[in-house]
Amino acid sequence: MAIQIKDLRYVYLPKTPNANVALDGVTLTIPDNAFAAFIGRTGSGKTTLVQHLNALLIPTSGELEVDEFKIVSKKRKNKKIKELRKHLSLVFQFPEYQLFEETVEKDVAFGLKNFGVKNDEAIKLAHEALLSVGLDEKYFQKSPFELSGGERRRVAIAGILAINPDILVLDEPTAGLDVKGAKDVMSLVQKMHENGKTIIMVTHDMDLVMKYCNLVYVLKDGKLAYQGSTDKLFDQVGEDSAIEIPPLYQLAQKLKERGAPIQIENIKSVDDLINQVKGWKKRHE
Amino acid sequence: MNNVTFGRYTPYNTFTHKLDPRNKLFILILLIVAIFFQFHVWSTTLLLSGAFLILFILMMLISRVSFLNIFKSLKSMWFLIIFLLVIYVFIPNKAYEGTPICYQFNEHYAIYWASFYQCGYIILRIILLFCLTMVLTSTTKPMDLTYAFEWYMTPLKLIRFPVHETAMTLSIALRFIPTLLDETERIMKAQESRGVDFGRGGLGKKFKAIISLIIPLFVSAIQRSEELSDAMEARGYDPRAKRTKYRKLTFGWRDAIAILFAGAIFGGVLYLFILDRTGTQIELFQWIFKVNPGF
Repeated sequence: MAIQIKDLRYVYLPKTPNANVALDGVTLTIPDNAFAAFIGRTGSGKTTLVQHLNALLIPTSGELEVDEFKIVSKKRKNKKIKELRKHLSLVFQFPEYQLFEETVEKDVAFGLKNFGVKNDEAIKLAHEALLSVGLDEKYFQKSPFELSGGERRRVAIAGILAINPDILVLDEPTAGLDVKGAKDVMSLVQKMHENGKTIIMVTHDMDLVMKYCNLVYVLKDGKLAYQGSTDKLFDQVGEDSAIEIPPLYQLAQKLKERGAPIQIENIKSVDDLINQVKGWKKRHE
Repeated sequence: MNNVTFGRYTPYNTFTHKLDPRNKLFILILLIVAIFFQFHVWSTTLLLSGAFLILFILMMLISRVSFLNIFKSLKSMWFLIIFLLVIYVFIPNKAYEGTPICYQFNEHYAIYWASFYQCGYIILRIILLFCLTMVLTSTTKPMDLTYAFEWYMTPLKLIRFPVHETAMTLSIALRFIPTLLDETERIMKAQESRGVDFGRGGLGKKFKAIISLIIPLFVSAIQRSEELSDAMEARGYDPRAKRTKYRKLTFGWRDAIAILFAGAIFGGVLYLFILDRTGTQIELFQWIFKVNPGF
């Protein structure tokens, strides 16, 4: 088990009139090599939860374990936080706002240098990371502030990828990107997953969840409302939930109701559905 | 970032919260002036300061201001206190000559007990100021405070001083403090995820850490201000136009009570002060307790 969370509770501004319980008794586990999604309405505690994973927030009560690292509610007792942050990296929502160096390559190498990689080695790894997000040599010496929004996002993600963490957490990686930009980022994440990394993603986009994720955690008002595999999720949720069932899934469900032999759990994208229908048609003829 | 919450507005519904901000501002100024009167007989000054401290503690209790903040601010002022102590105790002052001596170095240089008293009195006054401003800022919304400022500055319109623009600038600045704090926290977390350690490290590392925080913060603040000015223009904002207010400030019976109370205190202290300056020795301690303080 890569991540175990036990009875996690977090309160913003405790002991003031503005106190706000963001997480209340969340218990869950995320296995190794999972591609997990956290979903829920705005304010349901998703972002608060993932910020606990690399000890940016310390729980008010409860504890969590990320592989060999343990985070408890007492701040002083948490050691090896730097090692934890190298093991599990977090890409924030709108990460392009964290760029500050004068060139793209320096900014990507910044994180590496913080984790003790020597300068030349860091620049070399930075180049590799930049190439892997589809930014070639002509970007290396540019200032991050002269790039477009999508390019800056990719630079920021490269900054995290260069650290080469074992677990990658992304907070709404596709928010504010155009269709192509979103697709590029997601295929990059997919590639990371195929290379054996555990991926955890916070998102609102059910199409992304259906296409990429194999595990889903639904948060509602700071509590865990569902955990399990993606295909069962859409069967179980009621109408009042924050989850909008993707049209593709609805279509597949309707077809099945009408008697088409469709295996819904194997459908990840439109192409999958088309192939199944085609295969069915062929068998029919 | 949580230690910046000091003196922040807390949404209770007490007597003080319901007062008119203009009134509160005026009372604040009255009481600050009253704190700073100094009398010839120092036991009188001390006694009055003590009375003020009790009064302000009562005010804090009524307004539900947390006392923890006072101790926290004292903790952060320790350097100032030591500095004051050194200045007051070790720098020779003609005014102390003839008063009891604490330690005599040689015939020209001595340390007087009075210097300790002076220093203690300054610190007590700073604490009193702290309590007062804390009561004001934690019971008044920053926006209401700027409305009060604007109201007091209205006469300046006669000399073409841009009163409304100043008040608008002030209220926008106040409005964006929490937003920028949130932004700071967000960027700090993002950089911490990249291995920056804001707490530890040598000078060079710390400098780099601060740079990694400040540049993104400036970029986003400038971007935000541009967006805000566009949004204001899009809604037809014109600084020279006459504007109506959504929220009218009203002066109610509570305000009358508060101002009468503060006025009485101020008047009493002022009366004593005038007596003191015109030659009467104000032995307040002796008048009340019928004994000589004896020091």
